[in-house]
Amino acid sequence: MTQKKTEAWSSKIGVIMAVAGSAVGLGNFLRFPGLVADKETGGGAFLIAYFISLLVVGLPICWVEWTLGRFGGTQGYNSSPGIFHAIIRKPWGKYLGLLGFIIPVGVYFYYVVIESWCLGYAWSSFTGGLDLGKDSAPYAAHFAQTTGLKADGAILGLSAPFLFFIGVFILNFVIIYRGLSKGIEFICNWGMPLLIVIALVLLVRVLTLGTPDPAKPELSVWNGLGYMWNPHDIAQGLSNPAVWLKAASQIFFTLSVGFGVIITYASYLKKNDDVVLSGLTATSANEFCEVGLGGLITVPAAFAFLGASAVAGGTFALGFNVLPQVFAGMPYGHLFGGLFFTLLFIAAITSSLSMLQPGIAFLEEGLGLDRRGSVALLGLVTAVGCTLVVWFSEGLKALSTVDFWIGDIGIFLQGTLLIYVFNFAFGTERGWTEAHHGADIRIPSVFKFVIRWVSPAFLTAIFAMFVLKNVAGWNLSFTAPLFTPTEPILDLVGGPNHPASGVARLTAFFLLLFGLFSALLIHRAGKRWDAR
Amino acid sequence: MLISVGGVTALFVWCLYKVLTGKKPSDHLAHVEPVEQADLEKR
Repeated sequence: MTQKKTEAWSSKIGVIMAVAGSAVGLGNFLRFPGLVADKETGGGAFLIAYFISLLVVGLPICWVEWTLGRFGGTQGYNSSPGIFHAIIRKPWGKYLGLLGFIIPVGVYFYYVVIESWCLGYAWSSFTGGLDLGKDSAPYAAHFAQTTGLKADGAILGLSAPFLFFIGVFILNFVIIYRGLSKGIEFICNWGMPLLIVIALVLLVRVLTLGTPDPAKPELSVWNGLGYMWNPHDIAQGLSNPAVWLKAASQIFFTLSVGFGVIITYASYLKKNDDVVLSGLTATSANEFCEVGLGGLITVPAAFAFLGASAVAGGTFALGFNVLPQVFAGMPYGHLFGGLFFTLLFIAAITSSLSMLQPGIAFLEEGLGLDRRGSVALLGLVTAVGCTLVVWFSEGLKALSTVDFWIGDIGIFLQGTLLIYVFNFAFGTERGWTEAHHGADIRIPSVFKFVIRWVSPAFLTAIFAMFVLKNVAGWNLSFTAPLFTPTEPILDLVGGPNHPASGVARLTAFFLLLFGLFSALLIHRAGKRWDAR
Repeated sequence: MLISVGGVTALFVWCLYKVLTGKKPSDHLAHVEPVEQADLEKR
């Protein structure tokens, strides 16, 4: 049954760098600081909920994915459908891996577009094109011009944003074509240390900003740190379900658990390779970048220059509107701004590469394609998906639709599925033994109980709450109106003051077709695997 | 802030130390796969 392996990691540190590279992304430097700084759901309560979620959901699912992935690899499978097929050994088992193919490829549809914005902003910053003065309007206009926010198809043609997109799209496939070791591992081995060095340079710059405008002594970097990190009312915060939902969601998304990436990466390990310490190291690398670096750079800098109001605009607004304005206000700002967007680009490309490998692995082992064929087919599928996102750019509607249904709902679903498969199909005891095979450290035995009982219960509760809030529109309390339709649902079905969006419907229909196409491929792959 | 940032930094440094000073993969030596005890008993 065991298939000859053609790909493998060249070193232990290589796979750790690759998994950390997959996890460290834009959310570490833009989304997390915004969540901590949120006046209603941030502060000390958020951080307590965040670290509890890390212990009961993040780390356990991370170890589960590493363990199942390495097990699948020893059975000759590298893709989620193949690994689920090897674990469950029932005709329907392979279909549980469907999301492990759809999610990374689907997220790639829009993630590579955002990645190209980062490269474009880095270029503009280094060349002085992002020094647009002290007013915020030119920065918003620049963002709209880069993303095509104002009209569908606005960036198509020979515009710089479109050329950056094409370049980044091709670059990803050139790297992935080079293979696991020479492509992904090589980039992550250089990219991750470089990312940390750049972040440390920026951190020193931010922490030495002092009070940029002596006329406004309240706007200092220290007050910015206080604004972000002061604990507020912890007891009240922890009694707010929204705090737990935001914290658990952030842990889930930042660690890339339930993404289909870790399970594929771990499948290229050897039978006796460690997964416990490697999983913990990749997780801690991500947490260091998120809490230790991301948490100290963006929000304090924005606060010191522009005050608290500048911090509250969301991920894209903070990254692409506020921070360029901040960098323009500091000496050598074009240099530091360029470094910051280079950092974001490195964080993004190490993540986007990880989104392609699960697809490549499935096409190779499921359809018997060689690397050239699998890269060509995946290139075609992602080109169609990316075209949808780039073309229907007005209001970033296509992007946000894919993000919601694939990047939010899909990831939660896959993570929940993983923990149940581990406990009830693979077996907790067997999984525990399998995880410790070749392990460099032992997992504290309390985690066996956590993985068996706490993680599934916590995850199910959080997932149910997420769906109730974001799909059904529950206000997370028991006061009327209990349910208010949310934007993703209104976009599809329409409402009294919210006509249905044709773009959102088209995007959802495309995602449905993509899901059916993927299921057909898995069906075909199953025949091939059964014939082995 | 100090507890959060200090905690994750200490964990990251400890993990890196363990990885860099941990056991070396024996199967890289002349590409010989290690023999499992169970396999040995079968023989």
